[in-house]
Amino acid sequence: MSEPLLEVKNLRVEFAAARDPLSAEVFAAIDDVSFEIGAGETLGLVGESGSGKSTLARAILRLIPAARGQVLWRGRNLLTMGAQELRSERRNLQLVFQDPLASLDPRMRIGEILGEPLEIFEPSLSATDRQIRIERMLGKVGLAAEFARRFPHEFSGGQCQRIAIARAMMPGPRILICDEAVSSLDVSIQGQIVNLLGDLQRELGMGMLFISHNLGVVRHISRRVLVLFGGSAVELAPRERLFAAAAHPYTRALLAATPGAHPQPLAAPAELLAAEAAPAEQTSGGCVFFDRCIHRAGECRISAPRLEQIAELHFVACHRWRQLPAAAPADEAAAGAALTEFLDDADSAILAPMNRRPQP
Amino acid sequence: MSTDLAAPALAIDELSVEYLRGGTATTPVREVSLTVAAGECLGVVGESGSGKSQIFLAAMDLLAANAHASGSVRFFGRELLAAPRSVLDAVRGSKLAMVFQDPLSALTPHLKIGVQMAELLVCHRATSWREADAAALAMLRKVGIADPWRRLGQYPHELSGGMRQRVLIGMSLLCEPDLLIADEPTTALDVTVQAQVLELLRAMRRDSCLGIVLISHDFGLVAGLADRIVVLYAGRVVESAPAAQLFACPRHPYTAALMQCSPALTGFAQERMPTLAGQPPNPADRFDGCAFAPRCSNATPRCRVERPLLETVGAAAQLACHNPMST
Amino acid sequence: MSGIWRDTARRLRSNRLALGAAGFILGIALLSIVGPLVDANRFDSLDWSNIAVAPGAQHGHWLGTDRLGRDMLVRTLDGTRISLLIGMIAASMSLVVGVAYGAIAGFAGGGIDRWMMRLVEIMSGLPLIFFVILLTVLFGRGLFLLLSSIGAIGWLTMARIVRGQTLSVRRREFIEAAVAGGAGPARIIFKHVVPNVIGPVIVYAMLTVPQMILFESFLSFLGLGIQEPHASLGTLIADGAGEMEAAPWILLVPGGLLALLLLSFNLFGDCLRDALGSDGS
Repeated sequence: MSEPLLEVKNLRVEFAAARDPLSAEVFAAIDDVSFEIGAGETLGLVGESGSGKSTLARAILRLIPAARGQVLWRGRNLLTMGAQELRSERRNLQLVFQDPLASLDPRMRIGEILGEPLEIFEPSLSATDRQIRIERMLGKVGLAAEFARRFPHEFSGGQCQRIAIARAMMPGPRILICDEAVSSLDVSIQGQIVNLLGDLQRELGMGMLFISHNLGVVRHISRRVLVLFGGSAVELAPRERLFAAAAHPYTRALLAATPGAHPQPLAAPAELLAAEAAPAEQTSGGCVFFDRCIHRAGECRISAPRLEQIAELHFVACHRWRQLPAAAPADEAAAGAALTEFLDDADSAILAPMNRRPQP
Repeated sequence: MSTDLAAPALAIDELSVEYLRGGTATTPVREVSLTVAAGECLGVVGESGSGKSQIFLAAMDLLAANAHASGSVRFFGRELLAAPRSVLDAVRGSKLAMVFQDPLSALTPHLKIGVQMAELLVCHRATSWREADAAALAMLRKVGIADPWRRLGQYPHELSGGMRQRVLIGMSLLCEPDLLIADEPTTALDVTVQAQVLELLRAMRRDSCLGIVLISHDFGLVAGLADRIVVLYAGRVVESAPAAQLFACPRHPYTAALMQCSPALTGFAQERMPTLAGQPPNPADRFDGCAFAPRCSNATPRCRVERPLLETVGAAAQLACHNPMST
Repeated sequence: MSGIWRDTARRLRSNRLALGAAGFILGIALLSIVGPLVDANRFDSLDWSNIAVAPGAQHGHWLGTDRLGRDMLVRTLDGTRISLLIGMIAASMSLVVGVAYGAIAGFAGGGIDRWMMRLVEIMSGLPLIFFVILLTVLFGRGLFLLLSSIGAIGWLTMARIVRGQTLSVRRREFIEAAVAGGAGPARIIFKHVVPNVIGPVIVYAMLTVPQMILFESFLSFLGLGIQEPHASLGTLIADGAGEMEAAPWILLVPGGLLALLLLSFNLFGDCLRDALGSDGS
């Protein structure tokens, strides 16, 4: 691969763990995450609630502080730049948010919203030229030029997201981060936005980080996929490999649990997780997925596995990936038994501070 | 009017819901008719603007003050629409239960779980608090919550989203209802949790003769549970059929398009994600002809001026379309 | 931004209560400026032949006279003008200081915010009347002192309100979007935060005016406010209270007008809040 546009290295984001402001306890919302994005390619980032995916997006853009690590944009570290320099670099890395209406200033007209990036980054532009650029961009995202006079609340969710994308495109970014950009939209129009993003990316050669909990959508737009659990990267693979031959137990569980739009009823998942997603908390050394993994062993509690390469471009963070059975759904009864076993075993005290019972 | 057990669990006939605000009228539900047989699981599929939630809010008399519902909603033969308080109180919560999308806002934040659960039994079945507590404990176990004793003494915010939703389902089942309406019960949950909740609903159906109405925008979700599926668009029923038949052969263009739009995890991944052009319908709009015509690939000139009526097709299916997909 | 204000103005125009209240305030204000100029009597002219006479047309005193023979109509209008002036100036002072203070605290956050609000809390806890009296004793009565002490009360609550509004706006996603879009702090505060905060703030400022007038009246009632021969509604009410049994109109005229004014300000403020609040934000 040619020189990557964006490199994230060993990124770590910490939050205060206790309510007490004087306490020094922290937990890592993102722990030691690294990846690269090149021009024209899309990296899909998959994770459920508590995985830290939104935190990651914000930390990359330095909207929240990172405790450790580097974010290299064309070789320069965004996290250590001066404020002025950072602001001017922002034109190259833009963000599209989950809630389209909330990300637009309700008191500003669409034209003003779209004009702001030009005012910031191209202040010498005349008002007429600005107007032309705004109208051209509106057309590019499929909206009428006259919409520039209206306010955000007059538009539907899908239209607002187009406006938000137009705003992100105005300064001509090289990297676009989409944080659950289609999750709040109707299923039948998600495709409109996804296809628009794909078109814009192809036309401008942008690198894109597409964050979603929806595997189906990620599958359409990504070339590679990174799976996040509890703040750590657990698997990184090219798209087809991930969907056909996922190696990490969590990825497999995700795939098994996602209903496809198939005629056949949802098969009881062969592999399940014990409880709902835990807010990412610092483990004392063990694998971040330990509590919910059905293939766990002693070594998993002691040492956290690192991402290691298991095939061409395919990385997994798991001690026991070789011992996993070939991914094939078991029959109903076995699946049902597996369910009962986990629900009985599970320590579902996920919101209280972790006090782990010794597991067999 | 006494309960007629031979009647369908829920029979909705020409239900319309209208909101008047200022001078504008919004009509989220337009002349909807559907039936849920006793013990059946009905899937109700629609997107924003389809009115899928409003139909059942009307049935439960949970609409806002400025809403006006007309038509008929019969629960085992008993009319619920505009029924007196006594009828509604006897039915709601005990025989006809509802579970909503956001479990956190459905639970009272300052009351312990155990209290909220026991309260239902004490109110509806006039049991003692001790008996109610025991029943609540048993129910928590049944819905698969580990360490139920501790959970009873906790507050809603101390539980995770999936647990809360399971508690809510448990609560709704405490009085052994005949019909459970689940309005997007898993939308706010992670997909792995969703699988567990669905499994729970399936188990409940197996154990008792519980009828379920599962409202969702996700065909895949509904496929796992429903016997029959009703598809809504712009406040009207556009298609209704047994689940297997609907998936094998969707006749209405909207049904077919919506199925295609749910992205698959296997098979060939196209570069372009399938989608529907245009905007979702606005409940305030008035349509000449078919509401779906502007976005329909099968639209004919007739579709734009004449609204298709819901007609029975074959043995058990209904369809409202002038130019359906070919079989 | 102009669109929101235009929608608000339109809503207010169609609200009869708002129009009535606003009309009353403006009418009285106008009258209080013009009236004393055209009326034959002056606010301090004494009519010995008509001491404490009841309202009537025969002697040219439409609203009667007080115990020194001064015309009630003119004095009341004069007092209203002074009260309105004081109320508005004090409200404006508290608006400017409060908005600046609250916006900085809310936007800065963290330690700065904490200490700034600690200061506000401490000052709120002080017995302000005591200090006003102390200052009056030390520096004598005067218009500037009066304005300062009234404004000193008003800005505290305004600062709290503005800080609260700023905090809630700051968390909203479009602010984050603006930061991600490369906007600097100045642009964010003036182009994004302030327009989204100004609505409730202006409503509160409007509701502050009657509070200021009331407080000034209170101070004047105690004798700490406006000095003779000038009058404000408060001093007039103080005078009138003493004559309540013999010449009730001396109390009722200024008292009634004060009550109506306060009511109008409150009603208009409420209507303004309703008109601003329902625009989709």
